[in-house]
Amino acid sequence: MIQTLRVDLESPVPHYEQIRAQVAAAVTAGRLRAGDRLPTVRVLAADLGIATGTVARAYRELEAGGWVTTRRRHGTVVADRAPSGGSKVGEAALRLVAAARAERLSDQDVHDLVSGALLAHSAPPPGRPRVVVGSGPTPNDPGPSHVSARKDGA
Amino acid sequence: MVLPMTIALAVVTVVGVAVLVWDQRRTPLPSDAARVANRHAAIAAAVAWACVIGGLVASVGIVLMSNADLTGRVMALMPADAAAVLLTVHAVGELTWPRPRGTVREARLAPRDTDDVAPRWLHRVTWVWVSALVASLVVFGVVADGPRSVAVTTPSGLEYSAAPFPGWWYGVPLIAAVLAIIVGVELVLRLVTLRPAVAGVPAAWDLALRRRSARRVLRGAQLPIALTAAGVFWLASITRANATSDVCLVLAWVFGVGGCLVAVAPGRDFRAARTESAASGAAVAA
Repeated sequence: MIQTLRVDLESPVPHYEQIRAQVAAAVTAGRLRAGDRLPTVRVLAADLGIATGTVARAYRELEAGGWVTTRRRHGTVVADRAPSGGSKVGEAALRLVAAARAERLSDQDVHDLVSGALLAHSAPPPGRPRVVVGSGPTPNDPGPSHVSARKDGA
Repeated sequence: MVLPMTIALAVVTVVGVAVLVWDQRRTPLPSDAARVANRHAAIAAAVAWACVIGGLVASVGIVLMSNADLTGRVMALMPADAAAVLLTVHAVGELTWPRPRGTVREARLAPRDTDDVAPRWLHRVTWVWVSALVASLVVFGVVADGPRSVAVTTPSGLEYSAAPFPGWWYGVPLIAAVLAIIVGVELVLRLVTLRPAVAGVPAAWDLALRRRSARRVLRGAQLPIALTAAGVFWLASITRANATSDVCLVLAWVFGVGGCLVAVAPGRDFRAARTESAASGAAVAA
């Protein structure tokens, strides 16, 4: 299936971020599979009518995020182990969207819900110890209530 | 001077109008953007062919009418000049291709390269002509005993130097010209590949228009190369008075006729789209 990319030039979201987000979404949704080739920077920039530097930055961000890899002879291809592809979080996201569709929520409503959830579980500033209070069994913390301290990202 | 120019102008007009009308009639146009893109491609092709044909007619006319004393090397480079003009016009056409408009832009996340755009057999034929011409010029340069002469031995044992022969005098500029042409062909094909996609049309339609543009570039560029090769072999055939002259004459005909046949070979780029539109039209009529 050929994925279509759409860039809104008047959107407050930077153009490179629009490209990055849509490619990442296509990989997550399985519309782009590992090994699929992406168009070259020049081809995509020409088709969208935007600067090659913008597309190049989007590709750099995707590569830094592990979504794609750039090979000399093959160009830019979807990575074998793209983030969240097939992971539990990815499956949970699919279930969330399926539930939202069943409830007839709009895409914006889903975005708002996710933004709210991210805000409720906002990550602490990097470098500071984080206090986690267990309030019940979770997959990572099956034991009773306890207090622990750890570095973010540790 | 007036007659060749008049003939050239008439040829330019007829060829340009014919190509435009023929092109418009046989192409399905799913949107206004498709109409603009198709017209742009047709105008570029018409101008390119008109410049080539008009220039050649004018050159030949001037030579014949005015008894101009042109050297053989200048005449040998005329087809290459025509190819340069054709490639330049096509390059300008691609560089001025309509840009995407509107605040919301769309693009397909599908890769494309020159191999997708250029008809493979036509691309290969062009490279075969180039390779054969360069190889033959090198061979003729090596066997020549002077810049434009070759040693010939008659059956009776008499040796003499025959001229004109396509030695290095002709070989060096022709090799440089043909290499420049093939580099130009590849650059223009790259421009065809990189030009913006036509908005609001199926991917197959956009690819078909690219293939048509690439076909025009290759058909136009291979003809001067083939005609140059034909001329080189013909020149070799008339100066070498032995068995190889017959082979050279046959090769001259092969290149000349082959190049002309390839130049007029019809394309099938929009066949699928035409079939689809005809089927949809029949369904609407029913």
